[in-house]
Amino acid sequence: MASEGEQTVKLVSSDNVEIVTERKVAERSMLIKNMIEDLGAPGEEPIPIMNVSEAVLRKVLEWCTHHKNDPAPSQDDDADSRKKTTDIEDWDQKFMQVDQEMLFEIILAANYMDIKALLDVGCKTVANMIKGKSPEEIRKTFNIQNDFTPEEEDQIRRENEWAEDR
Amino acid sequence: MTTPREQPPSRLLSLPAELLACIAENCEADDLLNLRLTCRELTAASNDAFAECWFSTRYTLLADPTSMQNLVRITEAPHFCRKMKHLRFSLVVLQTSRTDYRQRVYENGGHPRQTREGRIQQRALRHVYLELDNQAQTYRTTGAQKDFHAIMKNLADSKVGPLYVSMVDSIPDYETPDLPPAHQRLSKQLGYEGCLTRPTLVDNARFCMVMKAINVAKCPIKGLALGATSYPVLLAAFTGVTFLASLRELGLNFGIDTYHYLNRGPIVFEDGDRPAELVALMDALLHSKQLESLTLVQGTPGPIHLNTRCSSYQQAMFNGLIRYSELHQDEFLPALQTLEFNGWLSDISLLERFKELKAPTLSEVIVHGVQTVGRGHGPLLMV
Repeated sequence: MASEGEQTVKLVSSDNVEIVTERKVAERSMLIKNMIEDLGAPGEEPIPIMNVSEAVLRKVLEWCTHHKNDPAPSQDDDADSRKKTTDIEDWDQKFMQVDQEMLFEIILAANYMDIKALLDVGCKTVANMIKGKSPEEIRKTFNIQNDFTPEEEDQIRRENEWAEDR
Repeated sequence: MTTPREQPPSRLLSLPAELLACIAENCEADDLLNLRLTCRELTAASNDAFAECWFSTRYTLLADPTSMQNLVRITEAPHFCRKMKHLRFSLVVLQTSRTDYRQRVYENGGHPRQTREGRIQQRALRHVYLELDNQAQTYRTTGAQKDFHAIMKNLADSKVGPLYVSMVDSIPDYETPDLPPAHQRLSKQLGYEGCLTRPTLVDNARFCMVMKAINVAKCPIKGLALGATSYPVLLAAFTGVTFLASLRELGLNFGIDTYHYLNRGPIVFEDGDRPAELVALMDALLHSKQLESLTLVQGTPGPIHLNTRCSSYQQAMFNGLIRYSELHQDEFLPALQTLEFNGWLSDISLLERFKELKAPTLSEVIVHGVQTVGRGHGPLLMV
């Protein structure tokens, strides 16, 4: 019988494509890890990943493969939810050089598949896209309409002034 | 006929609210200000991150109306209040001496009498200074109390978790770029990068105002640190402060100052004498059922001829603590774990008794600075 490290699992994307990958890689996803534990017979039953298309799933698995030997996240990491650093390691930065469509699909997939570290990288990438930009530049970058009434905008500007006067 | 559904205007905005909030959490403080100005959805999604980042620790100038009224407005929004954890009130006020002001002008390289333009400029600055000074003086006597009450009431109404409150009496470093913006604003209004503010001791009225406002509003307080509370009699403000039930940490600086001496004389407390303020403190501590850490600092021993009084005062306090613990036993400070004294203790036998103080959960008694406290203001207590 294959050891846990050599075992493979079958994942099925939302567009019904079967992808075979190492169990260790797939288990970066807590969703898959829990499903494997529940099913009890890894590799036999295909695991449906309902909300993730083949292209996105392959991309997510690429990230999981690179990070398969990373230590498991500790409880302390979860508690420190507000990490001000937007530093992203080089490989992850290159990995995230995709169009916005794919970037947001990866974030959604990471959230659905419960891969906290990937979700973090995705959110930090978006935070870096916001960094140093004016409200108008942020709107332009993400195709956002300004839907404030003048009163609402004034109120937010006032709140910002209160915040800065500390 | 069906109306065609509009496409989501933005891929970013198609993310669920919790993921937008997660992105906001990863943004820098300054970026959050811009992010919340882009559209309604991002304002809502970034509200928590914005409040956490900008309001969880709030620095406010107690003597400055703008700073205080900003805090009143912030606390009017319950979603901002709920993120507040630590309120720091700076006791630094505008320089009040006119002579000092003129000296500062020279120190900062100004030579008001050199040219006509210089004179006009200095006159204009002086006008701004006097206006600000006047405003601060008026505010101190009329508006500060009202605003402080409003702040505490807003916080209590918002069901904020227990807060840390500290009175900050250190002078900000005017050379650093990290000068608190409220100080920067005052300096800019005065046309100077240099400092035209200075610290003052906490006066009786200010201290009582803070305690009263906290008490009246029933605002839950987790920790309290009061730097340079110069008059021991101020501790009397604790009387009746039964809300202290929620207090977990308390730091008090009760240095004795010359003012107190001149007004009351160098009284030596005999064993058994109990100054009113100490009775008040002990009664307050009797209500502090959740207090885990108590730090007492006797920071300013003052001139050498006052040492007798300092010594007898702190002995009276130590005796008070020991007496209350014996009298009330498990009812007195039932949750206290750490008791720290930093001051001026000359009676070693009393120190031994103090170390043996009994409280049900007391695990650590720390005494610093036996007979070695220097001059100057006591250390700022921060919890």
